[in-house]
Amino acid sequence: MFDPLHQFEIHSLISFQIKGIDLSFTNSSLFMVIAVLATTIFLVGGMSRSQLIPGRWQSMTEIMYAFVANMLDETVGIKGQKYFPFIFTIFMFILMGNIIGMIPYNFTFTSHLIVTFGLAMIAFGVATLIGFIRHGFHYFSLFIPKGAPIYMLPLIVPIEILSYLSRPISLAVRLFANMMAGHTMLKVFAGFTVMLGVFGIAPLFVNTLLTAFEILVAVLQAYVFTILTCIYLHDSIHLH
Amino acid sequence: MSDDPTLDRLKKQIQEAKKTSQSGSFKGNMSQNFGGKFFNVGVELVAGIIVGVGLGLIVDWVCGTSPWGLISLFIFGSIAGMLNVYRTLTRKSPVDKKDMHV
Repeated sequence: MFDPLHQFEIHSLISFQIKGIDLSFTNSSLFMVIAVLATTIFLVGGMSRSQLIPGRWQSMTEIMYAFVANMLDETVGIKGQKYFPFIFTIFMFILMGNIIGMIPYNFTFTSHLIVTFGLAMIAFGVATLIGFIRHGFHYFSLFIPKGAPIYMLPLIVPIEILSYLSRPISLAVRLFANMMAGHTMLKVFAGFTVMLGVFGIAPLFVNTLLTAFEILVAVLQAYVFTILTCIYLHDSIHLH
Repeated sequence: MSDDPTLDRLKKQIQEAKKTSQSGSFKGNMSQNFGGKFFNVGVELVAGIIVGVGLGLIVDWVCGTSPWGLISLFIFGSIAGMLNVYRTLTRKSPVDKKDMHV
């Protein structure tokens, strides 16, 4: 029988252990390396023969750059410009991971909660760190809403802290759930096609639409992850 | 202006590209229309509760106050989740400002 969750299985390609901690090079790691290499080839190759009137490849890289630069400019403003490399790296890594995962037989590393949680913790950690570096202990005033009466603070501050701490969770779960659900659904409908024989044309049609929709989701989720990182960065730079 | 038709066409394209890049309608619409916002809502609510329950369990485990840490932080977490939902729907980030319908 076919198993729609089989595609998410992780198996180690090169076994490797340090003091009982499994640090094997898995298929997930392999596709992360592929994503990084593909991004590097895409960006470096596009800009290697840079011309005043860009060709197709150069245009693509420039569109990527301009897209993220605009996003950062509109959400964070001028002060966010020096964090552009960080935001751009996150965007390209997730986008490449999602897109590579759409190619059949490939592994989608963003469909694992621990990977997206790691990415979300990096984004959250960097935003928090920047907040503390820029504002010091004054950063804690983020937890006190403007104009809140002092006797309400014992109630408001824990809620604000929990709301702040839930940011990486929602960031991670959103990307993971979208990728996981989409890929499972594709596999389920593909399974229907096999089971129904001639009538499998109907689920095949659905699957065609779903594939297009999944490509949209792949790009959209990379965008959503990045824009939320930008918004968190904005909060830690501007402090209401 | 110029005699070369390709240059004229290019100029037109550049102007159009400038227009779309300045209005920024492409981005705001994407997150708004394609369920991005609505899927966010569910995740935000759940995330608040997850953090509340997780912290509650940790507090109970460290301080031995079971089950009071879990109960109180679950309640705070749920409220934080609802606050997240409210913030997501009313967020006035510069990107969404132009086409805010909520």
